[in-house]
Amino acid sequence: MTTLGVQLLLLLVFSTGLAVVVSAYREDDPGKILRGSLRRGALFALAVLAIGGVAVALGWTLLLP
Amino acid sequence: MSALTPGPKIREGKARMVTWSLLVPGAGHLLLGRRRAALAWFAACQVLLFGGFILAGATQLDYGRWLGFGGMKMLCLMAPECGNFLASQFAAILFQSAENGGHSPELIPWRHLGHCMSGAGGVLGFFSAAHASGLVLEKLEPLPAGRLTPGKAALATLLLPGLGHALSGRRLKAFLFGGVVLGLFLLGMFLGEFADFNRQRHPYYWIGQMFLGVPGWLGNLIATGRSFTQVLPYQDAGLMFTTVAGLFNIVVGLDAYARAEEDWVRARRAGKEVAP
Repeated sequence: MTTLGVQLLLLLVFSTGLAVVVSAYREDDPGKILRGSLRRGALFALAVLAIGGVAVALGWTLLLP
Repeated sequence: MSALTPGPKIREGKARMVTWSLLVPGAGHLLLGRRRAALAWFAACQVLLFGGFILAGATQLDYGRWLGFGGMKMLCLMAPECGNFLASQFAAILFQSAENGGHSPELIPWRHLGHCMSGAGGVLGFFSAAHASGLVLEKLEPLPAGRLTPGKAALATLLLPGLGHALSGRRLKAFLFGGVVLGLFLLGMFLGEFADFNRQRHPYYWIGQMFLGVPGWLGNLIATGRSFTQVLPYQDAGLMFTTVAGLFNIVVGLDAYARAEEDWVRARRAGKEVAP
């Protein structure tokens, strides 16, 4: 059985990893890499949460049997 | 300021070497006059491929796909063995999968090692192309010996994620790349109870996992034969994390190559400006 807390934690870990790799690939300056990682990580995590929120909302309303 | 990229002649040479090396690992090195390196790359890739096929009873073919017209088979696409393209085609014609012959793959004791070997041979084929490509720069725009070539930087990434960046003096990037790739890999293995590496159970994930390089191959061998006995709560996340770690390692290798190439071109231009 999965729990929401662990799923959110895994999303945070994955968002951080993805953001670090993308930022370090695009930039070579340490300051830019760290700032880019924060920005991209937050954007990715929020985008996933937003899509998840829409899916839950649809599941509770339009798609309810 | 112009971009720190090599000139068109070098880019053409690199494209040619990459093509030859992907067809036959070592061919690019041979064309560049590096006979010993050519022989070493060729031997390593072929021993791994054919040794792997023998150990696994050629069950690698069960995970490939034949392309052709009508009933005629023309090309067998097996990933990541296709990094050693012509030899993998030859092996596909030469061998027949033991599973096709009616044997259960469970009865082939060394199949996991065989799959790991042939897969590693294919991944090495891809990296032989990167190494040969870096030699073009070394040949046409030489710098004093001992400098990190782009090919070596990429190859170091295969040995340990982030090592290529550490060798080029980029400590933060080495730490970040190495930490993310190895961290995701270990977390994924933990979530999947160390049964993530299994070509039989999840062949598509396995392709990505093989690009983790030496740490992944060792992890594969250590966890040999483990498979999911029940549906784990986070097994999908575990599989995704280990696979994505392998795919990230390709990005890390490309970046290590490109940054070492930038350094090389910068050093050449600085040398030209200083020279009378």
